Amino acid sequence: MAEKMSPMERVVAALTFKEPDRVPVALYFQSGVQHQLKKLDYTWEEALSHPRKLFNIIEPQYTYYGADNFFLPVDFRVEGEAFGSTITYKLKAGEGFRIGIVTDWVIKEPSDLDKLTIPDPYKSGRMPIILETISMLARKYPEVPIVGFLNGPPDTVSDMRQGHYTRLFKDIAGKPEFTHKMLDLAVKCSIAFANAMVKEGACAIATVEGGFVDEVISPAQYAEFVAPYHQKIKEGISVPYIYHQCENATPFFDSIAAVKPACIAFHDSVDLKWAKETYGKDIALAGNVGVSKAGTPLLDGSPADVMEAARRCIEIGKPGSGFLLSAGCEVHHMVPEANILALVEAAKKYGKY
Amino acid sequence: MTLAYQKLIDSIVKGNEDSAAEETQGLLNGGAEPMQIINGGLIPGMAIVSEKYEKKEYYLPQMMLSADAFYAAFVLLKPLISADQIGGKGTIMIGVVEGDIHDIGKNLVKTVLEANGFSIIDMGRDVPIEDYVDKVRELKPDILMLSTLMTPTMVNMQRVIDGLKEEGVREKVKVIIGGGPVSLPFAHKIGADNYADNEKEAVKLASQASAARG
Repeated sequence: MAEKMSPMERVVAALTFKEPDRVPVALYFQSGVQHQLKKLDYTWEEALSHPRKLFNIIEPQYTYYGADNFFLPVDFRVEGEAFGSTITYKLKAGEGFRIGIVTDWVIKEPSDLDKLTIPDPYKSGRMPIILETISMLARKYPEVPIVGFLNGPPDTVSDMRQGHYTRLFKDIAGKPEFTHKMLDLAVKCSIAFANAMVKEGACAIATVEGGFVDEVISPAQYAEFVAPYHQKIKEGISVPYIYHQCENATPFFDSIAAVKPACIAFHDSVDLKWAKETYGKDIALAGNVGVSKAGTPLLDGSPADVMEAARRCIEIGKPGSGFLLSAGCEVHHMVPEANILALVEAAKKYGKY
Repeated sequence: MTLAYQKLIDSIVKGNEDSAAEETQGLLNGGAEPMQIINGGLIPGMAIVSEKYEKKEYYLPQMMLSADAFYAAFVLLKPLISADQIGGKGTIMIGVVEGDIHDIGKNLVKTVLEANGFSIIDMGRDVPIEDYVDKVRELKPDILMLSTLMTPTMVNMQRVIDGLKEEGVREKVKVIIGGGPVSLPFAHKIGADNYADNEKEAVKLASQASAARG
């Protein structure tokens, strides 16, 4: 039976605290597209290097899995590569696949930062491929929200600065001014890329703050080196900003909420009931069926386990709208397809208003 | 404690590489024994750093600067100490599994183990399964510590353990795992001996294993 609302109407209703026909399902597909690579016989490099191929691996997010959104790009290396860092497809990702990692960084010495300029999204790295893919999706599926993905600002810097996170952490403690300078430039690139994605048809921008998590930096460091840069992105775009924090976002929630994103998405280590009661009246929430730790339902459970975990999330999140059912983190390639389908099924079965 | 030892401890706690090296060199020039400097300066310094991390006064940025300061001192002392003095508590092989390049956690655990008298064989990151198996057979460590931050690469911990079994060396080495997505039940499921949630726990488990060996 046809549903009463299109994905676009459903997601807009949820984000604006109006009543949708049912709870929408927002999924962050990242390495989970490896299921499609297998079916289509693409390597990661092939899929990410051609708009038609990228389109083919993104399209099933809606047409096959039934998510209420498209999400792309599906890897984290886009901004760093656009600045001039080199990606090599060498890291094993199971089943013969190799994903891209940065193997040569554009900032080797602090003085290299001054030589960099903001990349033109229509000319730099794989950005033009992503923009063309968004345009193709928007033309074919105007009723499905396209969520453009930006790397979290520190993640982008870690792809620019030789030494990756190890160097960046030491910069935070030892070279705070230089760290801010790198973050400033990274964010300018993020805003330019985000606005280009919006121009081509993205109707929301999402970020994943993956490297700076609760056991890694203090709430004070988060408030200094992370949240203000998300604030800049949010202020630099004209569409809803969706802010995902990996791992336990609880100590950072005040900083994240102060950014006033349209939606906060978070891991299953955050108490959804607490988040709903504390923040969920003003900011939409997305979450948080466990996916990233051993023993979590989406990773290791059966479809019935996923349905039950999703039902519990819906029970807490649904009242008063402002809730999207989601995995607690990215949908990665170890998540069985049957479990992704079960998550969507749960929203249809338990999420009706 | 003399002022020089206090200065060395402070250098490590504050993460000052240059002064940690200077103070260490000064103590050596003054005739201090290398093991005396380790026991009186490096170990107490890293113990304070660990305590601050546990109390959430320090996070990774400060911890990593302190680790650098520790090594700036340690590299001056290591060549002057005999192998049986330095790794008195046993040998630990440590590495990040194949498919994962996140090695910050592994490096911190390594630093704290080294500061606590263990001899370390650092395998690095994204290390092929076969390399672990070959090196365990060849170098005979007392403990193998495996780390991963990523969910999809957890399976490679199991593959290393399976490889150790196939080569008949599993019973000769304790296997302890750690990293964001793993847990004690997961350790038991894949046939590891234990799971360490953090660097302090890793030292505790390694020390217990060392005591059990006598």
